[in-house]
Amino acid sequence: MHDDLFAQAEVLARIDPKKPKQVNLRRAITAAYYAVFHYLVDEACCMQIGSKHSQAPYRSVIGRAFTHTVMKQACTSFAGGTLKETVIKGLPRDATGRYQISEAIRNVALTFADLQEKRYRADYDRCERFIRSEVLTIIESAKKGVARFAELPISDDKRFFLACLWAWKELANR
Amino acid sequence: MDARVKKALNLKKLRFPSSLPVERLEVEDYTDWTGDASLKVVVILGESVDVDHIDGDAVLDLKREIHDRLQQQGITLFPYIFFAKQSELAALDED
Repeated sequence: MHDDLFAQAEVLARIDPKKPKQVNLRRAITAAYYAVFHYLVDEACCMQIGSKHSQAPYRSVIGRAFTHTVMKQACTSFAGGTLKETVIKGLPRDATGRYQISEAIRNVALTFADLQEKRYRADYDRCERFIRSEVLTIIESAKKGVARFAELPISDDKRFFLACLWAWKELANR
Repeated sequence: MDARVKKALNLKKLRFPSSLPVERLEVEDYTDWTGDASLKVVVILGESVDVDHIDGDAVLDLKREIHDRLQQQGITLFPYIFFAKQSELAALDED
């Protein structure tokens, strides 16, 4: 689904390049946001349930448990490159004592958090004006953020990030 | 505005990708849709940037650089990063 949403976002953003209509730019941002949202939810559900075709109904049910705000809170934390000590207590550290967050995870996390804010403005803030450069930059960087995360081999750190997308509220409040 | 923010986002010291020329940065305090205090950073791109063929990896590198520099100054506010060309901002003002 996320590929189709990215394609839709690009079509909308590239209509009328000289004087783009605000409504097309707004819907382009929304499509790009949902591309990243559904991609991350799908990945997290596959990690939790499995990726077989026959397991799709279970993934769909679990997918309903994800919320935009919890995902945003997790992503703003991962995007910064460091997590609260209470969250990472007991996890492996590097030589300097830090829990390292890979570039690919940071990229997709900052992309998601940034896009969610812009999607909210695009859908609800009638005072906001959108610029074609901004929208094309959002789409292209979101596509790359997802692509780089997809290339990242499965690891405990990747599983941990995906689990945090639904478990963050409980983890962060401990 | 926290003086550390201005120090962190000094354009002369930021290591931005060479493929993405930046004319200047505008920073202001911001509150996101969930009510969290944050920052709004507007990156004014050079007019030479071809936005139809922009390098998404370079954009991500630029964003991480902004995050890292803010963190190095102890700023934990999330920076929402926007892009525009000066000519587009001027066109918006005319509308």
